[in-house]
Amino acid sequence: MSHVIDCARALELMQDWLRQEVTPAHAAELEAHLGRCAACRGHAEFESRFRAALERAAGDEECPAETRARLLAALTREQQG
Amino acid sequence: MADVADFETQVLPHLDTLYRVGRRLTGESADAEDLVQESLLRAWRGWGGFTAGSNVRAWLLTILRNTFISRWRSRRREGTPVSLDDADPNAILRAVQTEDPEGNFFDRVVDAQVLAAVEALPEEYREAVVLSDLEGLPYAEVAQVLAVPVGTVKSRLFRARRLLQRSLHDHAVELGILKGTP
Repeated sequence: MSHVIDCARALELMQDWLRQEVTPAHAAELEAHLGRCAACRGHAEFESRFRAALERAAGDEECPAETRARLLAALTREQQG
Repeated sequence: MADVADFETQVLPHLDTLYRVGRRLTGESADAEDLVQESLLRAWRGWGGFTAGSNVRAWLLTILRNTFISRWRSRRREGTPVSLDDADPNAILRAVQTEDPEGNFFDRVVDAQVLAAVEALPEEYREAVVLSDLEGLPYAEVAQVLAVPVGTVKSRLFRARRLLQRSLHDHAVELGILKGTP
């Protein structure tokens, strides 16, 4: 039996829920709340688009090859030092 | 004598992560290289103290962050401070959601602007967002790197994300993507 939560609690849980870092019990409470609260369903849609923008921006930039070469050279000097 | 091959096998796969986090902390690629180099050398010197089988990424990021704090923080050019005077972070959400309830404007904000907004955050919020939302570390690992409880990580992220939403909303208004409330 899950607790009935209010909108403030729903907003607290929402970001963790979108990241899938929420306990099953909290997920159930939030999903029950979303089922009856259109405003929070709207918030969830909004938060989800925001997360997507962050994930796109994060990208997968790699350490440039010349930087990597200099880092490894410095490390080798230290290791042989 | 620490084992060079063992160190390189375990540490070098995390070089890209260290570089990206270094970029976001320092705001400059040249500083990021210096920061990562200093961190790698410290990691090598401390490798004997690393507990085999524990989380090497968290261990490295802790060294990177400590190095940043001790050597770089005072030199970093801070962006315009973000106002923290909002009593209710959810009031920010309601305000930025008014004109575009579904958040479609987020799809039109370019990546560079998102990263600039992250870099303009106050430091304790910035480091949490970089590790959690950009690098995708679980909350427990972010807490380990920042040496704070998981609850503190969550509360910093909660406020930081609201500040980012407001910053990106204001940017969308400047670009004319949103009209902005008069």
